[in-house]
Amino acid sequence: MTTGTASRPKSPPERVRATAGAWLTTTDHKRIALLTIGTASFLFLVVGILALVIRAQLAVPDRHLVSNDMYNGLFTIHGSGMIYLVMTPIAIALGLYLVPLQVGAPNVAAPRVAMTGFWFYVVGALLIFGGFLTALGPATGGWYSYPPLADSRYTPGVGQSLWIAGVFIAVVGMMLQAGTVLWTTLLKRGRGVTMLRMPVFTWSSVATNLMVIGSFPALLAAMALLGVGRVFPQVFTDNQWNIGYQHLFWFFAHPVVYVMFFPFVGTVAEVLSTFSGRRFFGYRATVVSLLVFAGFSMSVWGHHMFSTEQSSNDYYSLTSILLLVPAGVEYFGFLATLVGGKLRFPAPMLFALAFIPQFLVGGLTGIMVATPVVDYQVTDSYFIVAHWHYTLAAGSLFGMFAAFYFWFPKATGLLLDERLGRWHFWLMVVGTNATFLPMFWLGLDGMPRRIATYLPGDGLSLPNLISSVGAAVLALGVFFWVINVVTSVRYRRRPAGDDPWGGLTLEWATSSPPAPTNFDDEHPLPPVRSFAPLLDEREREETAGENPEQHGTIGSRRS
Amino acid sequence: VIRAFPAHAVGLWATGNAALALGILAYGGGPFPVLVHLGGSALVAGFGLAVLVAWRRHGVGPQLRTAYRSVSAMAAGALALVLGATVVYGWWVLALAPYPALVLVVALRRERLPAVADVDRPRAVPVPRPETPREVREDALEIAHARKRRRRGEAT
Repeated sequence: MTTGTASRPKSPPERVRATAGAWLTTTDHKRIALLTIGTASFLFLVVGILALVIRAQLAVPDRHLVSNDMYNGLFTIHGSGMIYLVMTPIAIALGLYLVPLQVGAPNVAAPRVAMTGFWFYVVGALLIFGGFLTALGPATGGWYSYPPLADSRYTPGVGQSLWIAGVFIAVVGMMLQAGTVLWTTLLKRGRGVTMLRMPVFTWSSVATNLMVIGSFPALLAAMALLGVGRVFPQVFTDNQWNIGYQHLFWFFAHPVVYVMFFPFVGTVAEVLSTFSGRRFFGYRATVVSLLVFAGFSMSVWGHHMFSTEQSSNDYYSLTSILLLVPAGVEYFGFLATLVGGKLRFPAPMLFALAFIPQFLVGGLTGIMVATPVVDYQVTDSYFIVAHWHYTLAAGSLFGMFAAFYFWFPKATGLLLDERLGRWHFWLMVVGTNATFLPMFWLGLDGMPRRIATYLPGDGLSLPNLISSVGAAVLALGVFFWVINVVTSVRYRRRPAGDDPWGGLTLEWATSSPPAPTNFDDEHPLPPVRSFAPLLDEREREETAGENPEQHGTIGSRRS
Repeated sequence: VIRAFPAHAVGLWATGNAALALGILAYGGGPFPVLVHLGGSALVAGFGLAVLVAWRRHGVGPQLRTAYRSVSAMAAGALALVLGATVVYGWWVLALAPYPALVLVVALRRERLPAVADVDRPRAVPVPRPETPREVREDALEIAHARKRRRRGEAT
């Protein structure tokens, strides 16, 4: 049968849809999202390699593997690449893939705008990385490129200018995608999908996209200001615009951290409820907390500027600490969903569970550095680097892998290898904590961030060595992930079926991968009565005395 | 409010932000951060207003009529590349701009599907395709018959 199917010529529509031309000129939201996520995943590996070079340089004292200028370029492109080109695009594109499915829409609103967003993102990436091909190398001002350091007097060369243009264009692309997803969520929902029947993930996407629309234009203004400063560097002689730039930049850059983890909070909520076999606990409270959390996130940016003495310490410290309340509500929801559930532990669940304590470390140290007296002590030290990476690597990255393992079967129709997934998970846990935990101690011992080397007598050697070994373990974990994806797609040994996990939300009601219009005659949109419509259907069938496992493929998915 | 009026939810969020912005003044922050914050709130409010207008004009419900391809998006990307390179390398790069701009203008209208009055549910997008070969059609027919037999409980 298999041979017969294989030898049968592919039907022409499928053949046409599979061409590169069809992919690159698509208007299918799923393909646009996959193009974005695929490009971002590739760039994740590239900027990850840059991080490995950084850790190799710092593994032992007084090492000169790369020049100081190249080191500056490496951490700049690593930081800005991870933020502008990897985590933010993935966070938004995950919504682009899932939200239309979860709200029962056949496509995203204005798909060409979303596709334009993808192309802008690619162009931005090309311009940022183009700096490596210039005479003086890539941008070296760090991911925030403060003036006057980043103006043309102190950072000559085309690399920094390319970086500014690249960041500007890539961020416009992200705004276009976010706008289309938010419009779809608010106005293009399917029949029966009211706002309070949308899954938690979709709500996290709403909060994310509101932040994108409110805060990302400030980065465009900041990049325009920096661009002016490249041509007329005297603008930054007066400190007014240096501080003005910081306000504009951080008004974007604090919310962007939330943009990079909110979708993964939603992911973790979906994964926990699916593998607990129950609804997410405290749905309405979580929805409100997501919106409040996002709202407060727009008002805390000044805590990045405490050491400039140009921001109101009391206000920003207060709003930052207030974030604990909505965050606490979400954490309570996570834990209460698990209590009493029928727990299963496949790879996505493991990543989701690890997200909870690891992200907590990032969040709580965030409250520490949002307290001015602590911030004055640790600002611009490795403590900040550790806090930042616990938020985005130990937190968001684990959420991203939870999302990847959870929805990969939906996007491809194939399950990933569970054994390789577990290797990936445990190596990531060990590697992440071994890499970033010692950085707290490095910061408290006084190691400044962005420094190319240190001396043997500084007392920083052991934590740096542990951190570098941890980075190698982390890289090994990522290698397992790549092997898992490549072998699963190439050999196609594990067909997923429509719903391999016993999912609760609408995307699991359609085929894997879904049809071009998401739901079709063979996979119609089921009735939607709550934020977990497939669980409703199963409960209804059980109440009616039917065995839900006779319908569809629910039985086989749980094996 | 959230259940019935999505635009109002956006408006509420923007209003909350504006209130937080004014809170900066109460704590003695300068006017610039307040302006930045109010600007962000105004952008969200503008988006909410657009949602409200679309809502009032019955622009609600699944997207049924979409473009079937996006060459224009690719052209817009190429145009962005040219503009980005212009900022860095100088005005002469703009000489390359007319080509993607032309493609963008031409493709923009052609890619849109004509409005169809009787569209009541999502349809597959039209893709240029050769005629289906006979053996594929026969296979499909056989599969469809087998499905019907299975549904009727007959042996297949």
